[in-house]
Amino acid sequence: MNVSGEFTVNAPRDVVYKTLRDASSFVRFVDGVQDLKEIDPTHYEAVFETRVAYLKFKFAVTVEVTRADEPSEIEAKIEGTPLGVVGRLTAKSITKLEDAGNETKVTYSVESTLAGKLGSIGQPVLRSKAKDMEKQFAARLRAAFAEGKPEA
Amino acid sequence: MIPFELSEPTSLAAAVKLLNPDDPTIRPIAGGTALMLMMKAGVFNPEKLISLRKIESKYSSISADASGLKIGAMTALGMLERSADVKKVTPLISRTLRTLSNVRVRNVATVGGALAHGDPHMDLPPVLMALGAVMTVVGPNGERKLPVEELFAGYYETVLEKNELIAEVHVPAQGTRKGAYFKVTTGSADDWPALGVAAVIEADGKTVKNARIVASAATDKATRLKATEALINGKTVTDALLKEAGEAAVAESEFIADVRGSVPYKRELMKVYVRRAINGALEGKDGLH
Ligand SMILES: Cc1cc2nc3c(=O)[nH]c(=O)nc-3n(C[C@H](O)[C@H](O)[C@H](O)COP(=O)(O)OP(=O)(O)OC[C@H]3O[C@@H](n4cnc5c(N)ncnc54)[C@H](O)[C@@H]3O)c2cc1C
Repeated sequence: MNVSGEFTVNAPRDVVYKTLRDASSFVRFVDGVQDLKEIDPTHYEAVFETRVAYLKFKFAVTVEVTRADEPSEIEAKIEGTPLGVVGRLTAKSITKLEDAGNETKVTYSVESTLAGKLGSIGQPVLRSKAKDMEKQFAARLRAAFAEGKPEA
Repeated sequence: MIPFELSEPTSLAAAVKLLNPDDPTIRPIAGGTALMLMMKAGVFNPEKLISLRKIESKYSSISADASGLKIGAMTALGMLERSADVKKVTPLISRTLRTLSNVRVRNVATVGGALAHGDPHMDLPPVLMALGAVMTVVGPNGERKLPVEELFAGYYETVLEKNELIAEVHVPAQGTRKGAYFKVTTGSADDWPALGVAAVIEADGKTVKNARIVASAATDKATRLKATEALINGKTVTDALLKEAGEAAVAESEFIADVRGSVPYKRELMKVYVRRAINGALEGKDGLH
């Protein structure tokens, strides 16, 4: 499945880039990411958990930043193993940053697949969750720069 | 599998008391056909399941009178399918059930489970919504009436509190209303649908007096197509109006892709099958086998 969109942030491009590229601050913008560990500057491990009704979807994920063109583009590969069952989540994300006057336009696209036992149950749930996560991601990132600088 | 506790209360009221509004790991279990799949997929690890199998037998029965049907939530779908009362009072339900999964599932799965599960791919909810069915929901503070059309909040999500149970479903008699359900499958006829469209229409010949049209499976919850209904209400159905109705249905729906079809594909299905469902209801061709 593909999720893509764009939004603008009230901050210069190099500042937005640094914030997105800094894993510890990036995590604050994505709902459901916990226990982030930096393995090296391009590899990370974390736990991703999301809930729908009484159901819980939990994955151990690894993130590899496969390309980082400062200050315009970040490409990452995400692999996840659902905790407790056989299956695999794979995703590739591309985030592009462009100047838009005093602001920065963020364009993102995430292509993901969910295979194994979770496929038919989880795919539509993740899709509907992705909509909320996108909205939150944009809102949190914008809020962080609302004063023109990222939160401490 | 993770061990869990199983309670088997002998009354609905006792079952309600065992549920906890704040604890999602305590769930009611009816036929178990849907819940077990969630457990096997590892997305639900219960602490405790409250089985409804031993509650009062009236909740596993069907009764009919002039106003319609009263169906207990624990009634198996197979019983509904074979009931002479259901065939007489709401023939659309009997026909829908024949392509709902297979006889093994229908003999175990219940009406309450089919509603509370909240998977938009289910066949019964759109048909019950189109017929105007209303549930009796029981919670710690007594009972309330909830129209089926207000039950769904999103994919797997309903407006029921965690300590509320569906007790019964009341379905108004079909009477002179004409109904059709089109289950569009991309696999076998009894597969999960890529799109479900139910239409229940009161008409005078080809002139629509009142229509209720519901789409499911292509959307993240079963949804009444109110703009489409408004478009055809009071009008005489022609090919041009049917075409417009198909387009109105597409315009008012939010589609979801799944293994049974992409969004553009489901849009096309909706355009065609809303047309067929309206026409089918009016002409007595219900698209079922
Ligand atoms: C192989 C297979 C194929 C299928 N194909 C189809 C198909 O083609 N079309 C279709 O429509 N369906 C299909 N189904 C789904 C089937 O209809 C549902 O699994 C079934 O209706 C659920 O009923 P249940 O009694 O088994 O519910 P359970 O699995 O016991 O429960 C389902 C959910 O409802 C809750 N619940 C149950 N009863 C109540 C109640 N009274 N009040 C409140 N909450 C309650 C449970 O807590 C749980 O969350 C298929 C299922 C299987 C296994």
